[in-house]
Amino acid sequence: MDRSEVGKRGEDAAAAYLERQGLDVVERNWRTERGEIDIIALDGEDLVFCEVKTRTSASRGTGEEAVSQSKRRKLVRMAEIYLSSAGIEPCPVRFDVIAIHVLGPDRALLRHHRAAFVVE
Amino acid sequence: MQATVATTTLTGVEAIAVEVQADVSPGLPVFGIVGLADTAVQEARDRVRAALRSVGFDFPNARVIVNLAPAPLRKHGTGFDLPIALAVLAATGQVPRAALDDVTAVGELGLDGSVREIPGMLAHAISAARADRDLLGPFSAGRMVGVVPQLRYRGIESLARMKGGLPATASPKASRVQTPAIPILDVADIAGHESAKRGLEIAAAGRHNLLLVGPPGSGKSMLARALCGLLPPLTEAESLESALVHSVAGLDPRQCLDGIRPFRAPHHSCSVAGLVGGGTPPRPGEMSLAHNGVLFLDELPEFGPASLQALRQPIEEGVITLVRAHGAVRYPARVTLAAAMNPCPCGYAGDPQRECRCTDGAVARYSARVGGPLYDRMDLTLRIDRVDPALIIDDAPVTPMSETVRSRITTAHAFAGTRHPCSMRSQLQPDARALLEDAARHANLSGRAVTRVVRVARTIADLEQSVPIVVSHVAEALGYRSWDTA
Repeated sequence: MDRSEVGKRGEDAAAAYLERQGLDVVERNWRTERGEIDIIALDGEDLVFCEVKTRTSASRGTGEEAVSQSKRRKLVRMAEIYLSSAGIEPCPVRFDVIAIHVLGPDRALLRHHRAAFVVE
Repeated sequence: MQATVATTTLTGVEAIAVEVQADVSPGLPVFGIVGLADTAVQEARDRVRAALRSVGFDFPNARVIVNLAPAPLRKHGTGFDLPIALAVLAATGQVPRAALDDVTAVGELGLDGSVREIPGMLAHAISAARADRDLLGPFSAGRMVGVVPQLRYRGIESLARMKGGLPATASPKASRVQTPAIPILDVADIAGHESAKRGLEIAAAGRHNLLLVGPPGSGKSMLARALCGLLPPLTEAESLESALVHSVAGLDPRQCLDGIRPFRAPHHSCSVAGLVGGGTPPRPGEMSLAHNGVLFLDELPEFGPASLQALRQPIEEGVITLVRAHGAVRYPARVTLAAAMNPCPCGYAGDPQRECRCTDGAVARYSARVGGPLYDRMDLTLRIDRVDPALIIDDAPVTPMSETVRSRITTAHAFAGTRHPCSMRSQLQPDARALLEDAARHANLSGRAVTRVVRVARTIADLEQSVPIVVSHVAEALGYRSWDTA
């Protein structure tokens, strides 16, 4: 399994997890020229922008650590673009991070950080 | 949703009203503080967020903007934590907004939601009492702010306390413990130095500035410390003033509140800002901390020239005005200045027994470090000579007890308060006036020096409870200006 495939499977797992938690996934891999948002979902009133990080080993640190300040800033900018696009009513917004640590072929550990960060 | 909470911030020794406005609206989750807030205020964001969560309130997942008005005023310090937290709670309906209408809040928050004391609690309390508003602050400050008249204080240990609405006002009554000030050093414990003790008595009775000149080890510092013990305890108003400066500087004001006169003896390496105040945010210096007490400068010529000259204006005016680009702050600085120095670098110039080894030039340079304008402001210059060793070894107290001296000083104070407050010059007897004029012409005394001689003569007359100033009073006063007349 190459790296992009690992990432893709991780995002699938995260989306499935969010659906199981009762969220409505409205976008997957929403793209702009600045990058993409992995998952956009509705949690009741709240609009959730979710970044998914999948790791097969801890050699490069945990998934959460990879969401650096510059990555967070990028996510915020993309969220602003999404919110300013047509048809989005003003609503509470949240940034979540889901970190997945792959343990074996069909086993993984998933950590969901609700409101992991705010705009600085 | 919006909410406003009143608070105050320090400028000098005063607390100025500031409004904390919070706006919570849907959108990207932001927690921003605007309104010329310094780093400590910006850090309030992390403390407020953690404090709210740890006591079980919700921090809104929304766009939270806090404005500190008036915006052009610079805001320093951690006292904004509590009002910011309350404004956010009120804007999100977790605390009823009406409950905070008549309340001014100040206090720092711990991550666990504890409410902590900040410097200047007394200033905040005075400001709240003056504005007829309740003060909401740390519980631990309750006893101390109890000395402020007409204050309604609501103390809380933790932000969690706000879940049950506002706490009741406590009026912890004035906790002034009138302990008679224990003198740092009793004059009676000092052997010899009879003429110097007389000088101390006059300085204490009239709050005159004092310069002690003598060889090393002759007892200059000891005498200066004894001066503080001779002064009567602080009056109620004075103790509040002095305590206020200590509180603003972040020091414990309890000693001042107990009526003990401040005694400050900064080391001669002290910077200008350390001596008269300064820094960002401005902080009172040693001179203001000695307000209503004694500022003792040991080894006067060793102080930096800039520090010494910075003293000149506040000595005259009793107040220090620090002017900075963004405004001026004033700190009170009515001190009795006591300074000590050697007559020359080796210390023995003028000593009857021991020969001075300094060249004339060295002596002149040493003395010039202090400078004429500062000498001019010294009302009493006392020459301190070495005491006969036998006196020190036998430890024989031959002088009046400090109690006696202090009661004479208190009587003189009372007398000065009751005597007719007409011009001092009109109390000068004709022959006293003639002597003063003669001496002033002869020694080329400055206008200020003449005025100061009259004031010292007035104090000497007060000690004798005499309304007219007679020739012996003037003669003694002139004798203490040996610097000019020598």
